Amino acid sequence: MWWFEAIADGFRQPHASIQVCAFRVVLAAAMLFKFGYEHRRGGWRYFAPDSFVAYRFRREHPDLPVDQTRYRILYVAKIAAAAGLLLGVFPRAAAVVAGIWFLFELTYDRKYHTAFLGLCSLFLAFSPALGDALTYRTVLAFFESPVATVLAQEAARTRVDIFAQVLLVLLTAQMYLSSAYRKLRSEHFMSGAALHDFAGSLHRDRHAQVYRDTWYPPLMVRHLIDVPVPVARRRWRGPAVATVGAEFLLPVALLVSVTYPVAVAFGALMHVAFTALLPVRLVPFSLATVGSYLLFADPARVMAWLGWL
Amino acid sequence: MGWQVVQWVFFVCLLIRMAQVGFSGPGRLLAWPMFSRVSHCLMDLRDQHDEPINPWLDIVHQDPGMNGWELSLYLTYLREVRGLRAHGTVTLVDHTGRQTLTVRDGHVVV
Repeated sequence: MWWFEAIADGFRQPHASIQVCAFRVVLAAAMLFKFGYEHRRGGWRYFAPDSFVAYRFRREHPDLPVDQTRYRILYVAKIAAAAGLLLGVFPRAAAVVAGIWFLFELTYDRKYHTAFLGLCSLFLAFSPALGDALTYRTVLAFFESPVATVLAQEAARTRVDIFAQVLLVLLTAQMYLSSAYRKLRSEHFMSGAALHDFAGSLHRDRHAQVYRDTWYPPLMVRHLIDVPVPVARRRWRGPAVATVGAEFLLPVALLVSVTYPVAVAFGALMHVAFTALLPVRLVPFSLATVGSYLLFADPARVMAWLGWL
Repeated sequence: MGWQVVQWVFFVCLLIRMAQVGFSGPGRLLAWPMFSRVSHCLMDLRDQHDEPINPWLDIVHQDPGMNGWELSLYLTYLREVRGLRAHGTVTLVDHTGRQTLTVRDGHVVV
């Protein structure tokens, strides 16, 4: 497997820059989606003096001097960083700034998708290839040369330092394995109760949500939510067990070239199912995770494929 | 060469941390227990003027997963910052089951 060879070679292996740049674009799009929906849901006012979010933050982190003004400076910086990452403007600095924002966000809103996006961003900053392809320069070049020519030129750019890609593959693999292991050890999850409680609570609170983020089709409500608890748990048990199995298998299946295409399709399908449970919040996480599958592809094969194109 | 040493040190430290945090303990960063510990706080509260209190207006959106401590903090916030003394019921749903709590005069009483 290329990943072990890359480690054995001291994180030096030729790879096409466009592989990591494509992930950079997907990650930035995921960030902008997240920042966009959070802004619409009042993100700009989270640290207003009379808000519960600021109140809880001050109780939990009395030593961190973040008031509304400083929060809003960070808020603007995160949007600039995500835009910079998308367009390839000072991409490494943008990745670091975005990563720092996510670490800060965890202090007032602990979410696993925030941790994942933050770590992806910080690890991506290790790559020297971030500005090589799919940047604002690519768009400008489209005005002077045919699209195919511009993309072919960018696809031909290669780098040797593959450290960032090794880290990002490791992160996604560890995330899946850790998640599967912890779910397997959780009776709450394996019994189907966790998924039923989750969907049921959000469905029960659907009218209280100021911004409606969840909607479950009537068929799903009839068969999986509004049914006696033992029946619901029995019906949720199958998806719970399937999730654990898939999360254990995916990292290996993604790294093996023969199973890679099937693993990508299966993983994408699994994330569509996750996202259906929590449609808005899980979109950025699913985008970043499925986007990271790009990095599992054997760099030598990617280069050969790009050369063949 | 110096940079490669930094990369090796970082990689080994990361691997150790991932193994430590990912598979045991409550650690936050690099621990991924998504959906394995689901908790929700279903609130049916009104203030002293009998107006309904909607927690979705105060929490980070889509974050109803409060535990007992956070519920107590929320009730304190309502009293101290908003001047609201809540009453009603709160149902905590988590891995231990369902627990219905009674809230009176801004405090959990049962």
